[in-house]
Amino acid sequence: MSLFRDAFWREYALVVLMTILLGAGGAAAGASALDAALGDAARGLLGEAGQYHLIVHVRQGYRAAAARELERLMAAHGPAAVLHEGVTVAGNANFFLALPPEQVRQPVLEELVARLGEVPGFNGYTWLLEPSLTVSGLRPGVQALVAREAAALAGVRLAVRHGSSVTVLLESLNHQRPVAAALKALVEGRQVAEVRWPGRGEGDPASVVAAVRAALGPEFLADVTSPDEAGETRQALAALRDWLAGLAARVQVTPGPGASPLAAGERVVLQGPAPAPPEPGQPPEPQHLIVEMAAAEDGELVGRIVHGDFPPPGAEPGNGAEGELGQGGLGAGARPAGTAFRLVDGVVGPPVGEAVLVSPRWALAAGGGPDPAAGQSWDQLVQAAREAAEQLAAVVDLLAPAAASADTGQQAQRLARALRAGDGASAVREALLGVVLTALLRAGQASGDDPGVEPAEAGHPAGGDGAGDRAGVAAQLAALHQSLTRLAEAAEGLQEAAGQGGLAAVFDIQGRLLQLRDDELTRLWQAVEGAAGGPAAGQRVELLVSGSVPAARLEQVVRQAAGEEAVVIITAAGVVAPSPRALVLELLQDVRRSVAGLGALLAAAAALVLDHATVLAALGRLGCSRRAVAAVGAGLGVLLLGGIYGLSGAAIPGAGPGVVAAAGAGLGVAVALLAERLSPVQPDEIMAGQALGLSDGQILREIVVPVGRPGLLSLVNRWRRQFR
Amino acid sequence: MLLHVDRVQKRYGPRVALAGVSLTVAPGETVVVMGPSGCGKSTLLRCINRLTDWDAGEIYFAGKPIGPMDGAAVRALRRQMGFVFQHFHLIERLTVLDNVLLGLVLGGMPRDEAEERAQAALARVHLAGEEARRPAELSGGQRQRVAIARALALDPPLMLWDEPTAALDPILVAEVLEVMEDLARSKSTGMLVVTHEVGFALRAADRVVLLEGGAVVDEGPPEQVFGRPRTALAQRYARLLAS
Repeated sequence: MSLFRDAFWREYALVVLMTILLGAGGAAAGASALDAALGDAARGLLGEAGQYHLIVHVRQGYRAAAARELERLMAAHGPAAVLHEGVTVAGNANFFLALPPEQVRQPVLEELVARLGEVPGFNGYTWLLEPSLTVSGLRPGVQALVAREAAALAGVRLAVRHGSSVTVLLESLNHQRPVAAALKALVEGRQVAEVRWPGRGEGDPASVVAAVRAALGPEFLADVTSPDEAGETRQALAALRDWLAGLAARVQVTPGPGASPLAAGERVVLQGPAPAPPEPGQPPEPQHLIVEMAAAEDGELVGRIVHGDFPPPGAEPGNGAEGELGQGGLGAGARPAGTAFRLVDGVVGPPVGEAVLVSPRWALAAGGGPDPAAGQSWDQLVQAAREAAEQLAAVVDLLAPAAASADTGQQAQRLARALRAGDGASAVREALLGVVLTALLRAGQASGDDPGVEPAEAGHPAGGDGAGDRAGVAAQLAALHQSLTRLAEAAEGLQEAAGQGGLAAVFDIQGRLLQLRDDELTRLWQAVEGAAGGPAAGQRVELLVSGSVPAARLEQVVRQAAGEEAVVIITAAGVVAPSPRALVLELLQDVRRSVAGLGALLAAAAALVLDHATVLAALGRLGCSRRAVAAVGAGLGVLLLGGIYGLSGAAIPGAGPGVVAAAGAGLGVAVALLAERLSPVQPDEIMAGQALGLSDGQILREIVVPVGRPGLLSLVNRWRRQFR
Repeated sequence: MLLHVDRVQKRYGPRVALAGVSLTVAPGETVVVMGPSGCGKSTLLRCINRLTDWDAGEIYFAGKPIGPMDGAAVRALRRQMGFVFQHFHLIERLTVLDNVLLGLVLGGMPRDEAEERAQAALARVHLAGEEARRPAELSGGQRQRVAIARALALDPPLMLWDEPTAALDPILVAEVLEVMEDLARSKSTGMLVVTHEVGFALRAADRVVLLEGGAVVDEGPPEQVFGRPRTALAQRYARLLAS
């Protein structure tokens, strides 16, 4: 402490302190200014915290139409509801929605986002609930559970589900930490084991659940298999797969005497539309059909055409040309396809038997009954449509034929247009209603309400008196109503199975179906089977298990229960994340802290160079060893950088206190070693001061610092300097 | 005895700078130390001023050993020894007056009194009226006289001169030597002068000490040392004097 008896060194300590304070203030101010600027940008983008509840993203081209629809949606929430169009980012127009405070409730919010699908160009949404936390990556079954549990936590106002996430609105920012901790405990303490079976009927979810429950005991928490997960999408994919499978041509080969039986995966060659049958020892001709054999569910081998097309009836020459559809008791769409030759190394091999080709699409085109393997919905639709058409024809015949035909024809065209436009079941229903109304009108006319129409004149085949005709009309109308209703239901069912727009796709496929080649149809079926229809069509189960069970053990237990064929996936139950605004603000906070850290580094370096290099250089001339000067420099560096860094609230990622101290020390040592270059001192003058009996402090104050670099030290030094 | 250097030894690594040098300076006495370059003359002065520590022996000032002194005692010692450097060592940013005042004011003397004493010192070296000028504006001789005034102003019992004319061109040497001879004649202060000026030694020195290889090889009144040279070094100086 004797050092501080000299006023200079007291002031020097003051300068160090002031440097720390001013440096910290400067670094923090610079960072805050940047933070404010970025914060303004963020507010411009996201609004003030709590100002809006939801951002709706809409494709830019639909902006005006979307705005009108959103206005309509928000109008239902009263005059206090706010709709604001924000900036367009990456081709997305962003609409900011705010509900009146009393409407910020889970059912209202969830209903609002459920209706966003009606907005033209809708391309997603983002909750802006503030303050909030989001638990993402949730399986549907877990999502409902987490939503319930989160809503029950203290400090949680509500929890809304969306996508695979649950956004939790907090009562205040003070609850963020405890609720985040509680949510983390909820999801991180759990894991989900998902089991998928590749084919239909292969798995037994109930027994797997029971086996895993028995093996894990209390660590098994719940079967969270989502009913939705096993529902629409999978069923739609399965329906599409089965529908395609039903439409693709199939080949059955009856082994010939002495021929070795075919195995799954082998290929055979058929004559198909080629003028000549395959010739053993030669490569297949381009028009020959190549069929790949596969094991069917019943164990028999069934072939699929992987090259070539099954020609339309009557168009093919040669082998099998004489076979009409259904010939020989083979059933609709089936006909002999001649001798099948084994394909060996790309060359036609020996004959293996006689082939029969079954093509449901050609049976359909020819008016035959659709194949029973095709999708049930398709069956229903076709059957119902056919019945409706028959009934309609009867009604048309019954009523005034000319006018009714015209009206009904228009209605039928409307129906067809609606179906092709993919406008969904409502359009179907609307069109069918028109048909029914027309029919009823005609029925009323036929019953005598309109004297201008005489049913008897309509030439009804039943003939008879008016009462009889009316009874007949009533029966026909009842039958018509029933048929049309079934048609509508079938259409709706098909649409639900295939998802939004699926009905249009189905009808589009129907239109294109006759243009498809057999091998194309096979490839389409294989693609659906492989990409989605395979595993997706199979059964699945999701189990919620305690996080304390090691993943490897869990997988082992589940695999034992589910069998080796099952796909077992172990995942975390979910991830807790701040809200989008909090993420942005957190990012800005990181930027601010990093900028403050850089500011602290600059401030410390500037102070060392401008103020302390002079002193360090002089110390070397006042008798301090080089090592001692370096040590002083290191200490100063640690003090300055550590102090400024700490007080400014700086935090550079990866730079903990140890790193900062080391950086400060390194900086200080570097400045000490380069002090003479950074701030040259006059050794002669220092020696003169010593010879005059001046203290080190007096030498620094009167001789060294005044000619050193300008800085805080030289400024403070002026106060007590005696020689100007 | 004002100054007593007692068998002082100093090495710079393997090189011997002082090999047991002993000498004395009485109050008001002028002792001239001469010797070839590198013989340890300047090192001896720096040891006496405690600008450099020595390895063995002791130096006594006013009867007190200065080796054990530290901090404030060393600074007080230095204020009793005016030091005139070869290269002046003036503070370039200060005026002539401030250079002279520096040691006085910072030594605790009231400003008025210090200024009076500084003015007197400057007058004594014939620099009255030059107080406001800065060192860069002065000739070498003037600069050295400012340095002498700065040392004189302390009114020290002993003045140490480290080749005060070596950095001056011959024309300017005379004005400095004149000041030094005046001081020597006044006997107001003891003077230990390291110089190559044989004439000055002959005219002003009470005693001459010849140093060679870090050791005293001859010592005595100048007439004796140069008149009856006993060493080769003395003979060289005698010949120089004769020429």
